[in-house]
Amino acid sequence: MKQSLYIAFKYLLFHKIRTLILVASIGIIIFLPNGLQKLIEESESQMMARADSTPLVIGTKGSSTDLVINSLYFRQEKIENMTMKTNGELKETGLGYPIPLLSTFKARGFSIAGTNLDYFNFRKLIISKGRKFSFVGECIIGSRVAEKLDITVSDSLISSPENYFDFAGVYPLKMEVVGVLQETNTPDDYTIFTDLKTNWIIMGLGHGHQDLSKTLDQSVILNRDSSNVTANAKLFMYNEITKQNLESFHFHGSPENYPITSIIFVPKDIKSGTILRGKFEAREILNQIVVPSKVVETLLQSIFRIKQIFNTVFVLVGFATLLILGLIVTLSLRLRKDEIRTMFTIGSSKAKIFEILGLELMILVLSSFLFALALYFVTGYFVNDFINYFII
Amino acid sequence: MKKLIVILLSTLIYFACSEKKEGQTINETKIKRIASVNYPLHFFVTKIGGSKVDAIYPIPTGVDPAYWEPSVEDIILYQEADLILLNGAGYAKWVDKVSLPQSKMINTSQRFKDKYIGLEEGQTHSHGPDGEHEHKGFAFTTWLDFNNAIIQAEEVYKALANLLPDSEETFSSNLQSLKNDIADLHKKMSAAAKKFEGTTLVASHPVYQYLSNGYDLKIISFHWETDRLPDDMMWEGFEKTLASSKATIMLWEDTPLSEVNDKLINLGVKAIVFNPCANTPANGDFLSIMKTNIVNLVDL
Repeated sequence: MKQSLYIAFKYLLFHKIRTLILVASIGIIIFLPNGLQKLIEESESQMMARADSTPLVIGTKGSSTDLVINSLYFRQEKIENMTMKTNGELKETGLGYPIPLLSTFKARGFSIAGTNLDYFNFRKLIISKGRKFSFVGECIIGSRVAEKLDITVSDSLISSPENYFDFAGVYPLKMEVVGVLQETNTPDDYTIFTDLKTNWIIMGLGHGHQDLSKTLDQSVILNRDSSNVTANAKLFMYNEITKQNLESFHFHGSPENYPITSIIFVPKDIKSGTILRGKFEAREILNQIVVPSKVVETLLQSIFRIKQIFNTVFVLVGFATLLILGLIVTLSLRLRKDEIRTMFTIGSSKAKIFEILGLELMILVLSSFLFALALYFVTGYFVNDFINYFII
Repeated sequence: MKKLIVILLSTLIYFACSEKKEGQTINETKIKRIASVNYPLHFFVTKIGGSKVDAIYPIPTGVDPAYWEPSVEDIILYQEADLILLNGAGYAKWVDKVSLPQSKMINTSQRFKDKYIGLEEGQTHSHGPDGEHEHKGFAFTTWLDFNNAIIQAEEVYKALANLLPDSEETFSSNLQSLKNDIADLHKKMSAAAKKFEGTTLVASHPVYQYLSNGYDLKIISFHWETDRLPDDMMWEGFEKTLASSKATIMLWEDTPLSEVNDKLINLGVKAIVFNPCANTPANGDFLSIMKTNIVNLVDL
């Protein structure tokens, strides 16, 4: 047996390339259905965990999937903005507390999520370096953002303009990184967090500039009367908030009308959540309220249907591979006819020859299983990418 | 056998001690930290909350809390509080420029927000002909109308009772006692205000809008500082106002400079200190300062 194993092993080693191709093709066929199953299961559990930990999401009427994806994963789907008025109305209900979110901007390819400090307590996010943001113009970055952009506390990030051809649109704002979050294996790792007010400053609703009532430069004044000074476009706006110019930052218009993309609502208890949903049903509060777990469940059901199609394909491909394997073995035996005859002539029994060939096949199949197993374990590292590229 | 008993006893003692420590931690976490943005609210918290809460107020004396500029450490103190009590009406401008947990913020004047007094003075600005204006804002020394002060104290009570329902009874009885004291102030102030019916008062600073509104006082405000001498233009404007209003009493937030006081006496104007008590007083507390304010008006 030992000698047969040695001969089989030496034979496969001699035909390295053929052996490798066979191991790889059989291994991939074994891995694919199992790997996909693992990816889907892991993705499902991660997505459901995120959705389950978010009791209610409120946004403007439209696609509930887009609303949930934007609020939970900050994917910045084009959803219509709502106003802070709804946030005030929700707070006044006394049924829990709202966490407003505004996610429309990016910085170096990562989403900027405007929110308030309640979000960090709600998600139990821990700052691994630095501190929470204290002043407008500061930001906290997720662990992956820090890693991929190679930035840390006291570095800075500049928000990307919404549209490069819109010169009158939003101006980039230089934000100071004051904290880095501990890794959570959630979308928060890939997000830049700022205070809502910082986002409104990026939008141009708030800004800092010289005091118009005291300025001596008349070229920046369009009109002046006893109650109001109107500035023209020449007025220089600060694109970075520092200790020196913080005092000059201010907001225009009513805070109730400031935009947000959605609200996460954390009810006191299940009953409060139900009462709130009732208020939306009765149209006491406009906009839509969704239970993220239900929306994600529906989304995953569609993916499961695709998984079934994939599984059927894999069975067929597996069957075809087995046939090809059979063909390879048959052809190989035909090619090795002289070799087998020589073995027989020098005194090897038929059983021994069968044993050697059987062991060759066994080594091939075993190696393929090991290869598939290695691929299976590596798959775990790509769950987040899989969710990002194929599910949301 | 003896060894076994010793080991068992040691284990029991160890676990008994551990449990006690856990119990202590639970008790410690029950002390909730309540941060306020001005002294009147801080005073209400200490009066209503008593020893059940840890009242946080990092604003140094001698600074106007409405225009205080906090450091990062100060902000962290507010961020870590269990409750942040705001005065509302645009008080504490710094709140608009910092990040605080919204769920812990309580606007104590929310109930009478429709009665906020808009500012008429000052200049706003806008960007471009169609740009939205910046608001002039509201007067914010809301507590000088003692009816407002009672409402704000009630809001403080509600917030504390929500946070610590087990201590609601204590808070309720403390609130009642505080309300009685403030109601007494209101009664005395209403009586004192009757003395000024049909007359006009002048004030060194525009901080008495709610006092004026709550007690039907006609007050014309200037922008004079207690530690600075007004220039000639300011005196000129003041004298013109005196001539038209026939005012003989001027309210000050603190004792004015002696040179200013002398000149006021020459003009036939008596300077009266009516301290809004926005920040911690050097002596006394909110109630005693307000009592002194009223006595100053009565003892003219």
